[in-house]
Amino acid sequence: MALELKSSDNKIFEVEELVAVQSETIKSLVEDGCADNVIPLPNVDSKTLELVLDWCKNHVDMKLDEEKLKEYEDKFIEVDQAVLYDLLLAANYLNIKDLLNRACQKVADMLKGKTPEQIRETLNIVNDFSPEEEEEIRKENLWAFEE
Amino acid sequence: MREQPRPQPQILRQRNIYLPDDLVINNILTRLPVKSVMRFRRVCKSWYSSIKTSDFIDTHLSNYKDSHDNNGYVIHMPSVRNTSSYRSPSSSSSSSSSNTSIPVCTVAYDRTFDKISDVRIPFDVNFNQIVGSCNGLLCVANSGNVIYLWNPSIRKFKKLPDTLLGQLDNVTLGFAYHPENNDYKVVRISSTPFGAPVSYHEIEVYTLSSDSWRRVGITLTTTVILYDKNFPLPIPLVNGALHWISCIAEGEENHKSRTIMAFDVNSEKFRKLALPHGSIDENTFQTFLASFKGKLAFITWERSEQPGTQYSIWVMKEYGVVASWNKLRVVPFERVSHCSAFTENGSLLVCYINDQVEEPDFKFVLVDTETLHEKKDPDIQQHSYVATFMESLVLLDGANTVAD
Repeated sequence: MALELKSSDNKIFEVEELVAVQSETIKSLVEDGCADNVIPLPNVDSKTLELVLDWCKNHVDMKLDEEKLKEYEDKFIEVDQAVLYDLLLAANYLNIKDLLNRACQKVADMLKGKTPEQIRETLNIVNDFSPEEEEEIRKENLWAFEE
Repeated sequence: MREQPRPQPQILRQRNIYLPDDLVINNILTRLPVKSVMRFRRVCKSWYSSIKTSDFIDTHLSNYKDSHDNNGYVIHMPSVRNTSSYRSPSSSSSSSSSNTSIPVCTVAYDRTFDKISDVRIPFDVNFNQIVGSCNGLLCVANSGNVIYLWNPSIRKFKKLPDTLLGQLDNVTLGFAYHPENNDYKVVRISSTPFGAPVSYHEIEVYTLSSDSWRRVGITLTTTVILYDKNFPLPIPLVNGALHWISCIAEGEENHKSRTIMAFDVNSEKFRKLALPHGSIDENTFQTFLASFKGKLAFITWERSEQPGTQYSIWVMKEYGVVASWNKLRVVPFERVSHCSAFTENGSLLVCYINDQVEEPDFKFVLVDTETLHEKKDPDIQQHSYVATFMESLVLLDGANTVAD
């Protein structure tokens, strides 16, 4: 059975149901009988959706070959930061657990060596600590900054 | 020498990416090593408060366990502060020898004992013993019966309140994680000194959640004469129970025998478990219990048929089933020696006296139980207590903790 998915930039993707239901979001729609028409995905652009569907398809095809799947996953996640974030947001929206976890792990790996200042810049976070408050935490953790 | 330029931080110039807060905190931050998490507490207030919650700590721990399947670590702590009269030659050149004023614990790989790092011990070091280790939290007791819970990864520790028991002459301790309540317990058994006419035992249990001790009554038909301290190994936690080798007296004729007394951490009740049949006889010098890949292991040091000694390692393949005791391995060992540690993956650390030299000293050998491969002179210089180790944030949410 095939499903039709429409990306935010209005591109239609025809996908096997077995592949598409790797997304819990789409799976719920199918189970509720709402998947007869084209399913709009306003939060995912075509470039990202194509990658996501490739992930889903390979997880169906390589289900029994753990080693091959791991090789695929390792290669798949080697993308630049912008694409990684898009994949992460798409996996979150579409509720594809394994892709979400993999993307989150990759982001974590990228963040681990950074300073708090760099973190704020990368993730667009506002520092709501006063300089005194921040200094207090910094002092508490002098040992964690020694890198 | 020219310094390497630091890599530029990756900044998205094309557009702003906003990842949902709860996703970042619960699914990304929880995957970071402890040092990074601690450092990132000052990024913003919501991160600071989220990181301290027990949900965050639990998720972080579970992620750590998932990603560290094959890599095990140990932590070892010298058992005496000053060197004894027997000193390992390599310690005189080592900067972290026990002669320096800073007492430390060492984190190492459990298969090789190759050192990873030293961690300063933040509390009073006075003949300390590692009672146990669960989820990155260590339980340490000193000769004055003071007990600490310590997480070396986040440099926080907590001193336990004083005992409820009358006297503490002959004490053995066990430390356990209590999964049903996501809690940690310390069990203290105090016994009348050995040889006293009537033996009795008092038991108290401390729970981290209540931060208090509570006496526990034991109802047993069996008379327990002795709970073996298992020195220097910690009392093993297997299948939700702490296990002590015990000497018991049963029946009308008060027939004495040895058995295992297993204290179920959830029900706080003891049950008997038999030792492997025929594993102890007049040739047995020492016995120990340990945890081996999650199963209960029984180790004996005994005289062997060939001249010399050997270590026999038994594993209870199916918990609670006495018939499932299986003699996994016999490790021959010529010299008089002492079992210093038995790690979760089966590395046997043996200490022996090298009397082949003018000034006798003690040496260590690490034997892989499964391959019998021996590693001479592993990176450990003195008698130490050894326990499993992992990184975690446990105790970060704790009340009454002291930061180092």
